[in-house]
Amino acid sequence: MSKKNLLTFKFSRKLYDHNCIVSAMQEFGGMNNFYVVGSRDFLEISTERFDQRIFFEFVNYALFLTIQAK
Amino acid sequence: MKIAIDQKNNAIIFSVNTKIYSKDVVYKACYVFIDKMYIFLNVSDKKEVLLVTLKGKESLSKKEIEKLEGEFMNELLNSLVRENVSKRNQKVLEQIVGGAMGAALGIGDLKVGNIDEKKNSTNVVIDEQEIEATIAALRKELEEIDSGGDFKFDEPVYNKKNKSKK
Repeated sequence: MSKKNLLTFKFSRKLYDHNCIVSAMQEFGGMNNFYVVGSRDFLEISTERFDQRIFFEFVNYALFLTIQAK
Repeated sequence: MKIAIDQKNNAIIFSVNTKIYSKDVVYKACYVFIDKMYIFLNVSDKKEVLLVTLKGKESLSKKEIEKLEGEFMNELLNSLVRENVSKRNQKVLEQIVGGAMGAALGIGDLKVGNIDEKKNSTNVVIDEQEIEATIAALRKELEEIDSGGDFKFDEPVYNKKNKSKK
C-alpha cells in the first residue's frame, strides 16, 4: 500500500484526549482500516482515501467525545 | 487571522488566537456546529494559535464555505461572552444556591463550603441561661438537704421548669 492513497490526520494530544480517539477508533474500526503512528505530541492516524467520508465522521466523533469528556 | 479556502475539498482553514478565545470557548463553539459540518482542530507552529478546519458535509460553493466560517466565528464570540457572564455571576449564583440550601435544611443562610461546619454547630442547641438557672436551683435544693430541714421528695427541678414554661 503506497502512502499516496492514504488520508492522514495528526491529532494533537493537547487538543484531543487520547482515550477519546481510541474510543472513536473502536466505533469506526469495523468500517475502516486505521494506521496509527504515535508520538509524544501527536497521534497520526491514516486511512485509505476511498473511505474519506467515514474517516471525517470518525474525526468529528473523536472531537465530540473529547468535548464531552471535558 | 489567516483564512484558506480549499474549495476542491469543500473546506476552510483558519486560525484562532487562544489569547482571545480560550480552548474551552473554541470547544463550545465546535460543539454547536458538530452536527452541521466536519471540524478538525490542530495546533499551529506559532504559540497561542489554534488551526480550525471546517468541512461541509455536502458540496458547497465558495460563498457557502465562507458563510460557514462566519457563523463559526460568531458562535466563538457568543461562547466567549457567555463564559464571561457566567464567571462574573458565579459568586452571586453560589450565594443564591447556598441560601436556598440553607433554608431547606433549616440552618439559615449558608456560605458555600462551610455547610457541614454550620450543621454540626447547630445540632446541639445550648441555652446557657437555662443551664445556669437549673444549676442554681439544684444548689438551693442541696443546701436545704444539708441544713437538715425536712426533705420532701419533690418533683425534679427540670420538670417544674418545663411545666412553668407550658
